[in-house]
Amino acid sequence: MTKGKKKTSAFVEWVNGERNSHLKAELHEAHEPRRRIEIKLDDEKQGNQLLSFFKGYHFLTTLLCLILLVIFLWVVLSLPNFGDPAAPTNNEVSREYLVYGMEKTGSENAVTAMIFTYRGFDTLGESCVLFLAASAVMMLLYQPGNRGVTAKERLELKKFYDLEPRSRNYLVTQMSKVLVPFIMLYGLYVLIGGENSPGGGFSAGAILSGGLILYRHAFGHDATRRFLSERVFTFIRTLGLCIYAGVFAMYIVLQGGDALTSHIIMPIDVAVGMVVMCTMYGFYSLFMKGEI
Amino acid sequence: MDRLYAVLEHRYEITAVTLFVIGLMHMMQQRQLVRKVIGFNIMDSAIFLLLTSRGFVVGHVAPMVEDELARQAVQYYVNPIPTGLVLTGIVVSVSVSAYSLALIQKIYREYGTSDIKELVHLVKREG
Repeated sequence: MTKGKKKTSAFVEWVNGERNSHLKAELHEAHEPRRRIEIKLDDEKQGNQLLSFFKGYHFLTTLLCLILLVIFLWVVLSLPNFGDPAAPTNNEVSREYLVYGMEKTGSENAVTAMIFTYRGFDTLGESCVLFLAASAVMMLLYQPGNRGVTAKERLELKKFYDLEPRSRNYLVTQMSKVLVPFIMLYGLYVLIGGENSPGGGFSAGAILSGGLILYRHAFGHDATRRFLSERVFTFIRTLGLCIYAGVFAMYIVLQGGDALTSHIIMPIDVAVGMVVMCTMYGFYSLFMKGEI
Repeated sequence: MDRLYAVLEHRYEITAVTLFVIGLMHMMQQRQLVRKVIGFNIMDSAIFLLLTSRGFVVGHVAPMVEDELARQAVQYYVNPIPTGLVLTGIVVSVSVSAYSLALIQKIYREYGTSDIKELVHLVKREG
């Protein structure tokens, strides 16, 4: 099943992990993988035996997917019409949230009121998922430049991780100087206004991290590390989770008195925003450079 | 004619399940690991589309409840629950994507490939 070399776009090559572009070639030179594959004739035969089910596999999975599609379409066509007010999903639960949510939680935004108080435990779990994901990615990719490695290894790592452009683009730098403050301001507005208008911790965290990533891209790693070092990064995301857990534990212990409920949304909002911002920026930074 | 009307009424849900099956096929049939992650993300988007389309009510607006309307809120605002569920889904989707991409990068650095077929060769040779 050998095909001739087809001309593919750079994106397809990138997805396939081929090393045709200059960047990939550089990476490949910089870091020779530990185990190279040389498929010998003998191996090819054995491998083909092992992989002979792949042909049947393609057929069977296509069949399975088509059967699933038919079942799904059949189910979907028997659902209530799109936007039907009498649909069973619009039941007394959502009615309760809409009619009494404002009164009981003091938040005009019914979604925020729902996810931070009625379903607050679930959202605490979400924050933990984000925290753990950032920690897991850190465990896998964390390669600080100068800890426990020889000089040669450090040079290799530096080459491998130096994906950021060496010379900054003038246009990007100048535009970021104008845009980043406004992006951060908008993020803060969404964070604080999440109680009474569209927004909330998750979207605000994403906007703030977008601003940070733009800043990092325009001014480089060293400039970002001046105010968001690894220590600060860890502190902010841990503090966010602790604030959330503390406030919500208090809410549960005190049985959610009305006076308290109307005040817990704002701190939880800010805490979630902190966790989301740090997680998103951490993903970018770890994939880019292997350190915060 | 009734059939056609039903299909038009359920256009969002039909798009959603079609996308879901496309994503599933990608996850099962592609050999490159990065493509599997892309298929996973297509599946996620399909689920979000299905949930949000279930929460919509014709003629109603986003649930920013104003004081004087709160008593008759049910007649003015869409269902807020699916929106909250989608929020949960997005968080989980982002986390899983990041974790699997990190794993793929590790695999690529160790073996120099992210192709399932070549990886099977390697694993077989190493026993």
